[in-house]
Amino acid sequence: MVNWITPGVLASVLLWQSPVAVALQANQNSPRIEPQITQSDVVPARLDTENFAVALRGGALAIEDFGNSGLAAVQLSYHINEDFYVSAEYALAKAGLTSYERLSGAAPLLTDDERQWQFYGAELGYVLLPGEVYLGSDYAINTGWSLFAGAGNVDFAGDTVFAVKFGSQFRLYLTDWLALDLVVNDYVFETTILAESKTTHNLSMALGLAVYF
Amino acid sequence: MRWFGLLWLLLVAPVLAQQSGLEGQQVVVQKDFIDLRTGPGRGYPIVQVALNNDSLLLLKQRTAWIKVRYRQQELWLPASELTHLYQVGGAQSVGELWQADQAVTSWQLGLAAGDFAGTSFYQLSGGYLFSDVVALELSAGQGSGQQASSQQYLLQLSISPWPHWQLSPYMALGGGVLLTRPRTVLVQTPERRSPLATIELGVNYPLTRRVQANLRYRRALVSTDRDVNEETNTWLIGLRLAF
Repeated sequence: MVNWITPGVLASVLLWQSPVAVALQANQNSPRIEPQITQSDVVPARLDTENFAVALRGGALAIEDFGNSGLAAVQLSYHINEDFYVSAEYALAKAGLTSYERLSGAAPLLTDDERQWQFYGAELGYVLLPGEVYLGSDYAINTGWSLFAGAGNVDFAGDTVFAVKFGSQFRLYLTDWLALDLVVNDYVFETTILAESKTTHNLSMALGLAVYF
Repeated sequence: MRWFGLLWLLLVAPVLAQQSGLEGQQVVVQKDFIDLRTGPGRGYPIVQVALNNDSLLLLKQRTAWIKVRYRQQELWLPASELTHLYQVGGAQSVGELWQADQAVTSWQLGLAAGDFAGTSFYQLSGGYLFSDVVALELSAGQGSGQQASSQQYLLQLSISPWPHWQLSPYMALGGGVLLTRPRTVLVQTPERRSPLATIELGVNYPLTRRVQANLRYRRALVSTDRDVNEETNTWLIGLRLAF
């Protein structure tokens, strides 16, 4: 018969001793250097966001009945996501003479001050065609063609009227923060200058630069 | 032409801000591959692929796209891929860390257009959110009709009892001033200034984390010089951006 007593006692002593030994060892200042790594993630700084853009444009505006004139516009945009943006615009032009004024030689219809044409308003744009264009075989330039519609006020001929605007914008990204803009725009509003009230379409075309920040 | 200089400053200031950009943050890809595009949008072509364990430098963000430097190239990846980008030795992804660190937004900028008592109307507003539920909004509106043009300046306190609903209704009470100027061609008529009290009902619908669309109806009691007070209706549709 196999003697189980001695190994049994030894095993039970070992079993009882080992946690004690481990506990003792844990209490001792062990000569080994224990690496004390606490997994702490440093929250990385948030990235600089570039969702705003400011654009400065110059071009031509055809004020209905008042001929063609120069146009200057400044626009601040906020990109909601890759598709949509909202922007606020201020545009300025100076109306010329009507054909009637030119031909009849009569007194001008409007004073110099009243010929100042101003638009201020806001719009919502949708980037319909993002993509690339190629300049020769070496350069690929990012572009975005968008459609927009908005509303605002037109100050003209001593009157402030509600205006609707819609048009399209072609943006050519020279770098990712600097873009060349070509905007075609229709400002639609009612005028009562020439006695009867009528809806006028005032088309404009402007070229500019946009900076993202 | 003094302000023309100001306009140039407006354009030059962001350009200068570009120069003082911080160097990027080094991260490691923990995914089979991530597509890299030439521009910040799904319409731009994929020209590179970053593979597992490749390291990238995060540079900046535009809308939901991140600009990265990868092998001397500057390309874009969608912000949704941030959950697969880790800092060296990090246990959590950059996306998760930023999610946890999200700042509470308490300022709002609003834009709305619609109809005010039969005239075209639009308004700009700025708001401060005391909490999810209570907000204060200051708005300036402009109405233009055939007979008269008007301006409205209002201060409203709004309560939205269910801010976590997808379509969250709110109610606002407030007051302000209404300036009315009849549109006349020959005679100059004086501007009428009348105080008004308003109640507004609306619903908010989130479009993105920062942007919500809203639809609102405002009933205003205009106190006039005449014997009877006027009541007006305003219908608006608009957007609010949070900062």
